[in-house]
Amino acid sequence: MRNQRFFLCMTVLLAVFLAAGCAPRQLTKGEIDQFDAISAKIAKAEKMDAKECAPVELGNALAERDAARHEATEHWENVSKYIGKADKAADVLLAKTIPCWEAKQVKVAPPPPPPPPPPAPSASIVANPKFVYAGKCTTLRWSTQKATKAMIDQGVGSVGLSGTKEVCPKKTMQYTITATNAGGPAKAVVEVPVYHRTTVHINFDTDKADIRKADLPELQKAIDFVKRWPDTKILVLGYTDSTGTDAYNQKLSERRARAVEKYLEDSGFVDAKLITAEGRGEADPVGDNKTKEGRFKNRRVEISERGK
Amino acid sequence: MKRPWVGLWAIVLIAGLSLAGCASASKIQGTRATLDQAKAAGAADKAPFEYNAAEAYLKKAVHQAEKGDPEAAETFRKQSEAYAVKALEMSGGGAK
Repeated sequence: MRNQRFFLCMTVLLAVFLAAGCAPRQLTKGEIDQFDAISAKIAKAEKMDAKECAPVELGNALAERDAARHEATEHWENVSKYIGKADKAADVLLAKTIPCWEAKQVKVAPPPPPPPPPPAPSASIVANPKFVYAGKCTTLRWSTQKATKAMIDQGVGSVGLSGTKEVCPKKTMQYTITATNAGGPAKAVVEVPVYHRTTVHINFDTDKADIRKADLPELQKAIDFVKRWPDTKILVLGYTDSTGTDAYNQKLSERRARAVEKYLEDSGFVDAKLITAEGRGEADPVGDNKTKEGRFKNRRVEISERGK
Repeated sequence: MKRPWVGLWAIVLIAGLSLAGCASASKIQGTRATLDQAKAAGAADKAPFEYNAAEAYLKKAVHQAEKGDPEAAETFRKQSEAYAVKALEMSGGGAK
């Protein structure tokens, strides 16, 4: 009976010890903080792609942390040793993950932006003279900046980046230069008007501005000309030879131009508003003033159309 | 009358502990087999994290089993088994 009681007591005692041993140990505040720090290190490594950078170390750190937590809650002794081991595993994980992750950042850094395209070129083109009479030529002069090539239309073709070229348009023409580089094209345009003209030779009696009968056939040429260019602007320019003073010749050229202007207006074939008359004196001679024939050529009126 | 109490108590205690230990060892062997299968499928290269995590947890499970803590051993073994199965799947060696 005594033995029976003894074994019963022993059994109860054993049960009590077992129950006490199975009850989980409560972690101290310091231990909880330590586990949080370890978890934070592991989480940081996971964000830095530890799965690829340090797969062995990550698996080890997780297992060590969980094992340490188990040991800390199940046993009273050596807890700090287990926590220290887990912390070291987390440190090893970070030590391997961080440089790997930083190297990846360098590799995946966005490529430098492409260099900006070169500034667009510019171009300019002019014609000298600005207009031509039919059958005459003018010189195109162009220049470009920052261009790699240039071309001019209307049959001119590829040209240097700057230069000149004589052109003889048969009708009013627009010339466009296109300068290009990697930044794009640039265009410039010049229009070369082509005008038509006729020349009549009339003379006056001294100090008079009346048209002589002898000059009427010449003036018919002027009538015929304006008939060919209806509704266009007409420019009448009077000239003299070099005989006399400049001042006298200027006046004489103006009288000559106005006489033709009036004759044309009176003819009714041209609107007075469309006619402009100017005297140019002895400028722009077309003949040699030293010869009789040359002086005759210079005493003239040039009538030209100037477009609509 | 005295002997049966002692004998019964001792038999139950020894049998219980033995069965628990055997069950734990058997399951660990099963997980080890899964892990070996994953390794054969190339998991060390194709799923390195999962494979190594499974190895690490399995070591802990074995350690706990050796220490006589079957409950902890089972906890770690389950963790190891989960990683081993994932590693096997990722390396294309899972059930087809």
